[in-house]
Amino acid sequence: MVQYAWLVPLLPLVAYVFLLFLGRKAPEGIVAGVSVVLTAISFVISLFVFQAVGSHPNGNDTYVFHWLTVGSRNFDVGFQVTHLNALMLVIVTLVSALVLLFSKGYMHRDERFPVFYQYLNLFVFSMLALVLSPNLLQLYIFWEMVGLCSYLLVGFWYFKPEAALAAKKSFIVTRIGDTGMFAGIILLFLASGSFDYSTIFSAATAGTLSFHGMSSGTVATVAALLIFMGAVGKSAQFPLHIWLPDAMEGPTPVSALIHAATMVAAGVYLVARAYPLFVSAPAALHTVAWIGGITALLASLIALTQRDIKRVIAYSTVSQLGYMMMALGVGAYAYGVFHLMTHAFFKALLFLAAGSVIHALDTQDLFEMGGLRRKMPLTTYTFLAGALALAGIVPFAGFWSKDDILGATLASGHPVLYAFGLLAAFCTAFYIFRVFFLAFTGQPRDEAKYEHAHEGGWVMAVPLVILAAFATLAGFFNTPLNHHGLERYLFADYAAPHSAAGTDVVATIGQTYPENIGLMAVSVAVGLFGILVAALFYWRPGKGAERAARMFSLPYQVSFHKFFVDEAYEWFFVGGGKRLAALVRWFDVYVLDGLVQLLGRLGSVGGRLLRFSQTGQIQTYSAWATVGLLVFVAIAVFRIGGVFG
Amino acid sequence: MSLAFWVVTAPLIAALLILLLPKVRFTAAKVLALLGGLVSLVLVLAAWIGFPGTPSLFADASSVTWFSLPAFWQSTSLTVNLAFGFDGLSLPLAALTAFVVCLAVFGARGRAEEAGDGLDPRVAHPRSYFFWISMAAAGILGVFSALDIFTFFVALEVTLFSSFFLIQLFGKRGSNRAATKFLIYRGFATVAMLVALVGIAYGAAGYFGSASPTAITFSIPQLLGTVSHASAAQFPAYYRGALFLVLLLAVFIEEAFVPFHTWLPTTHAYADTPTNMLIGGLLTKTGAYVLLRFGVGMLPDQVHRYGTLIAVFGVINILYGAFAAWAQKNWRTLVAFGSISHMGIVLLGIASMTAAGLQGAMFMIISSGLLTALLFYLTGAIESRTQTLDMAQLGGLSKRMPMLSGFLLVAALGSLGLPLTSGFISEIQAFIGGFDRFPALSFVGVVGLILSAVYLLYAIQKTTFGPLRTAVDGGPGFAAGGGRDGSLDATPPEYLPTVLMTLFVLLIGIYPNLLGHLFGLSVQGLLGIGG
Repeated sequence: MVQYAWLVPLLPLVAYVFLLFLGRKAPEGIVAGVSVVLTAISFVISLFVFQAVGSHPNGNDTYVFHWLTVGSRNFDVGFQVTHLNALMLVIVTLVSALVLLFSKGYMHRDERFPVFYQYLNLFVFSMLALVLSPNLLQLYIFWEMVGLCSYLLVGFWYFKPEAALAAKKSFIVTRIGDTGMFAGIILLFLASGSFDYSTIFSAATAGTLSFHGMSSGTVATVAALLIFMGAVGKSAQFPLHIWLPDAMEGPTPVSALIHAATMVAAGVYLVARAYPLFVSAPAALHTVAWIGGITALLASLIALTQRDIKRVIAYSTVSQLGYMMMALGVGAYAYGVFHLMTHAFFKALLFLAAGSVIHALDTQDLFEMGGLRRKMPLTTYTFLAGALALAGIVPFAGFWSKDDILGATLASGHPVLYAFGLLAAFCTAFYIFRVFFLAFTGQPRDEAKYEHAHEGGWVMAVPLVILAAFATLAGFFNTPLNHHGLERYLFADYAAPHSAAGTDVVATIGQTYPENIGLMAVSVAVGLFGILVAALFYWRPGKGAERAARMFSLPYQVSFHKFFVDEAYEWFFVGGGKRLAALVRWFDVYVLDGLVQLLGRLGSVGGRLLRFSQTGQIQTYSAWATVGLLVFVAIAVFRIGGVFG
Repeated sequence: MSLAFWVVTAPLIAALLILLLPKVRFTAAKVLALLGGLVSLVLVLAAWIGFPGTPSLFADASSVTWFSLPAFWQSTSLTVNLAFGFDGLSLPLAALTAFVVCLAVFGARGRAEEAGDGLDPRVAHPRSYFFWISMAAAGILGVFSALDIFTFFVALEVTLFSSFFLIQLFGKRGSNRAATKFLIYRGFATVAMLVALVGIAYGAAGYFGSASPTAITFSIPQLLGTVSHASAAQFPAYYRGALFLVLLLAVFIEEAFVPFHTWLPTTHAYADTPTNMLIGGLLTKTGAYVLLRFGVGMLPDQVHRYGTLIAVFGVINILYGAFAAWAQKNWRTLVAFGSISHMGIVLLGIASMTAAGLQGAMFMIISSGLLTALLFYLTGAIESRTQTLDMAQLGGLSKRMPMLSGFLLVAALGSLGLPLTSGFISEIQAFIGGFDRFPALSFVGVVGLILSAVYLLYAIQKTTFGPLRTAVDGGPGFAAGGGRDGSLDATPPEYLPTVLMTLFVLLIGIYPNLLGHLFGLSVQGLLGIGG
């Protein structure tokens, strides 16, 4: 079965090409139908692949062919199925199929409906091809392709200036990280002789990376940090987190699929995929943990005060991705991936439910919502399931994975990071229930909008219900009840005999952390406390929000303005870059070209001077000719050694 | 006569026919020029198919003795040949040339109605217009396929004055100064190159050495075989170094490398679209070709020795071009500076003297040629509708020209090196070479990857995204141009060049071995097999 894994990305590609030829006037039913059916088939195949890897005696299957020959080396492309990859295939195809279905309702009667589906299918293909990559070069190729799809979809409503700006910003900010990753990949290629994960891992763990006389450990650290730059950009980690909230300008299904469940998780996936490299570079791993922890806290603080429903959830995504990074950084490999999975479900759910609200009300401002519980019960209860999962309330999915992470962080000896995580958990419960109370309970704040609110029909309901089921139950894939099934599945990649990584590394990766009932109780209590505070301020209609804002005026402003990071970057990097560009232009026009003009002037002056040599007298000319001949003969005699010989 | 010979002469014959026929109309002249280009293209492709897979071999070479000077100097004789042929390096370049020439001619059109500044000179003098285009085509093809230094110079001179006339006679109002600047700069480069190459030929024959000189040859294949093996006694390193620096100077001017680049943006600002495609897409690639052919091919030790210097200039070009492009307010100069930035990557790749670096440089020459031509074509098509390429006056073009805007985006993405386009595969190879030898410098150079995204997406955002700007909507071009239903999008004849160029940008990006197997041979030849 594993050898047919290439079918999984191929089907969405087929859908893309088919839609491309169908054109911009194709009927909505066919466009959406083909896309959903093909991706659903991909999902089914993924399930078989997932199963087959599990029972396969020799896990890592790799199939490659030569793409380009460079000197004595080859660049290969192909696909590789590991346990991690198989899990990712299942997550991506499932969420994709549901989002494709949901979009049928959400994008109904959009002028460019077929184009939207083209882009989405291209994205699904690229994301799956990224997951299956057997080497860093192919990963980078599809890494950029998913970035392109994100750019196209964020800017889908291109006529909106905010969308145009957000699309550009998302591409450029992630490009900054990608450039570091580009250098890191090249460094690893030069140091190990290959882009292949397995070759790089064995070289890194055996300490045989060599580059310009640097020690293997140094090369591994530098390369891992450079590659992590790419992950920071893609997964919107501090300090490159600024693009993701702006990317909410795209249609909401895009936010659910690309900016919550799949593409933004690619950074986490990358660190997990390249884990043996990171493990052999402890400094890099440490950086991952701290960046993750800082991001988790910072983003959750910003999410407390945002007014736009999608921006709250976007900052929540940034924060949750921070948790995953932190997990990987402290050595809890399986928990990071586990949280990636649960988060994909409950965050996609939250976005789609928010999309359902936006679709009904035509606003994203939380303070124009309210009381939707009565008109949109399905959306309300599915959103609630997602919110409970995000807040980490037992037994919803997020509880299991987040708690694993917090426990492992403390157990691995990172009390500060644990405190960050716990504080962020409080904020998380608060901000998501702030959204819930503002949107769904109390009285409508905008009667006109409330009037025409309605559920979005079965195409929008089915994905909500399925995702709500996963958000509620997915945590049970990895609990003491099933002896941590997912953990054991993921560790199989590093089990003897087919692991390319060395034994120390395998031991580090395969480390498990025992359940700590006390810590679990603390997290749940913190989550419940967050919900309680949110309820105090926002459940009952009234001036809760303003009271809260007045009470904490300074911190409120800092949070509302996102710690002024955007402003600082705008001034320093964008402004600085523009000033430098203007300087280069000035130098170009006035100094370089000015010099040329000056030479031109001199030339014409010289020409005027030389005109005086045109005396018209044969004597003068022959005098000059004689001088010239003498010089020539002199050179010939003294330098070459004779005129004729 | 070999294929290569006819590849070069086909446009030449077309040019002569255009000149000889009495009072030709625009379309007739265009068809003749197009036929010349097409014949070249078909013949290049035939040569490509029949190309033997062996390194450092000039397949299908032909040589005619032009004149011979017995007892030329110091009792040696000199034979000057007209010789043409292809190897793994020149064949893709010739193919690119024939391809872009065909599309440039196909896309050439004049404004029928009288604009403010009188009748379009292209309509008034179609014979002259297509004569010079065909001459330029023959010249560029000659440069890439010449197997004799003398032939090479004849071809180079042809490109010089035919481009000069194209800029001066058919450019925008005020193109006089631009044309003069072009002529002076490139004229000087040609002189420097003449000194360097003739010097190399003399050096190879032993004129600078202590041993007695042998017969001079101007044959490039022979020189490639002998120069790098010539002993120090025969061709002292001092002379090689001096000649190499002269050659490098010529290359810098020819290729519009900073700080000798100011002729390029000026030229592109004034020349018309087909001329811009020829100059930006093809003519500016001759410098890099010369550096590979004569620098790496004949004086590899010197390239190695001055590697750091070349790499430093490569990185300066990458960053300088990118920052300058960021500050541009007009698409034409933006594309010009973008191409300067790209060619900086070529310089870095060549300086590394590694297989990946050299192959990346070769890929980049082709990629940049295709993308520059495509960008000039698309912006030209947009300009013919909006009457301006000033970004401050454009906006929201996707609304009225979705396809043109879409292709412009693809071209921009190719230029910024998105994977699965030709730009990416060129950049990564060149940078692998760069990092291999100059890690710190290359690390500075990769910042150019960020900057290219900045200036291109900034321009795209200003031009095609956002609300449709009324200044543009009400402009004269919007009233005059366009199709039946008021749509301003690409017309069927405009699709052909656009789609074809885009297709090759993608094809090279998706299946790079298409070029790789030819360039690989050339790299093996240049570095010595296995090197």
